[in-house]
Amino acid sequence: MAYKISPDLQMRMRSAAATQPLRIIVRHRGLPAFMRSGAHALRAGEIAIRRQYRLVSATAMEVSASHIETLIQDDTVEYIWPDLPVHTCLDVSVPRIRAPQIWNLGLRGEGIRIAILDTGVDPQHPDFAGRIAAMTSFVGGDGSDDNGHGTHVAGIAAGSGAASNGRFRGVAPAASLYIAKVLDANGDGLMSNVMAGIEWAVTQDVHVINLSLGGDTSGDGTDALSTLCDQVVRQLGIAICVAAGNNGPSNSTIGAPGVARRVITVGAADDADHVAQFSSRGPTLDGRIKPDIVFPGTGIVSARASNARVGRPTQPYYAELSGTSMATPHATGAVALLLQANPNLRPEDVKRALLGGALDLNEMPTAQGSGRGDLLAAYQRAMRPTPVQPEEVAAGNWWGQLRRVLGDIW
Amino acid sequence: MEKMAPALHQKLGASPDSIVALIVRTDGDPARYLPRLAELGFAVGHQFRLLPGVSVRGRARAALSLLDEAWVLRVEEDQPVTTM
Repeated sequence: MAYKISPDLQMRMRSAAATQPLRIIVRHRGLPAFMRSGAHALRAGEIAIRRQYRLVSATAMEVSASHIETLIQDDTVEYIWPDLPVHTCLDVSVPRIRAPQIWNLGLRGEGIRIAILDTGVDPQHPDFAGRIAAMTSFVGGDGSDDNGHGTHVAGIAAGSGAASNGRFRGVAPAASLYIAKVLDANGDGLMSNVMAGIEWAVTQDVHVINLSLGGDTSGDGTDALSTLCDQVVRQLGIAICVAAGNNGPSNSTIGAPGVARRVITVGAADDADHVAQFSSRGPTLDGRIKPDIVFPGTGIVSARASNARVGRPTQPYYAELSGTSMATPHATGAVALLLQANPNLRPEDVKRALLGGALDLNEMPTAQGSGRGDLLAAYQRAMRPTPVQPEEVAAGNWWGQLRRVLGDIW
Repeated sequence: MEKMAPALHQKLGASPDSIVALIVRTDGDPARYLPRLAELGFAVGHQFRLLPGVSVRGRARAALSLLDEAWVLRVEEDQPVTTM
């Protein structure tokens, strides 16, 4: 009967305790005995049905290792596989947001400066060779990544994919990277370190800042870190992308600085384009809709630091991680490409283009924001002439606006 | 905007000798207020220019006394952040 069990499941059964639950997929003919009404195993809770498929006669379930032996005695059972976890490599998530279509226009982030404020980066990783323009640390050390999170995040935003022959390429693979280590080896830090990192990034004249970090408590955006973020976006014209957090699916679970008004707050979508269960939900404490948008954030394979503590290694130089931290650098890379395409865009223009081009996932606005990011649709919006904003005319910035309008005409 | 959230006020008052990490927003350049902060027993971490202020560590009792300083605009906890 062993021929009914896939070899990798046999291996898992050998190393599992008899009572250990295993997730399997069973192909069967008609209605198998274990699913018939009143079947002992179902009644006794020895089998937990997870999903039944219609196009193929198969069922996903959770059973103990010992019970699999019982299943194969069933004549209607044809074959049993392990129900293996799946992951979304950058070669899947990046095409999903239609970044390659933008690359085909000759836009890969050249000349755009991205700041990654995180656990640092592995400067020896081949995917960043020659593109780390500056590194610093606000928690000791030199900015090298002793956790793995920052390297993974940087790979999603701007990894070249050099160590994978271009397979695991980030969204803006030619952008320059400015690395500030603001979180320690455990991935923890204080708001004040992040604020210091933002001030440093400003002095580096970056175009966009990635913050795949945040606090746990819901806020109204008046805290110091959120206020600073809003000020940097509004007064200095630097876009900031912030992770919504991983405290979903309960409402009002987005902390600072994700609650800041002018940043792009990013939730996570899964492989099936549903908002991930863990993705934090709005509204903010003062009733505003957040997140603003979602990007792929489950099981993302990206760059792995040589001494990474986090992530499941999938091959040399790469590992898998999930979280809104992984969704956020997709947005940051998208912002980089949009700014390269149209350097006149202000952060609010970029945000408007991204949100306007997002694919509606038909979920609550407090879960999906405007929907899942679509870079090609955002690009089309970003390249339209931008109307003069009334507040800018009032502020006397008429010459810059006139130049922009004339530029669009000419 | 109130200088300190009521919850923080209560927390500091409940254990005045505890050491707390704070972000203090100041009226203008924070460098002007460093001597006064030292006088109150605070160790200053970062100084911020874009949003004028400082990060400090000190006794909860001293944090409450900051509320009487005219140059202090807001006092809040320097909260933990983590990877997402």
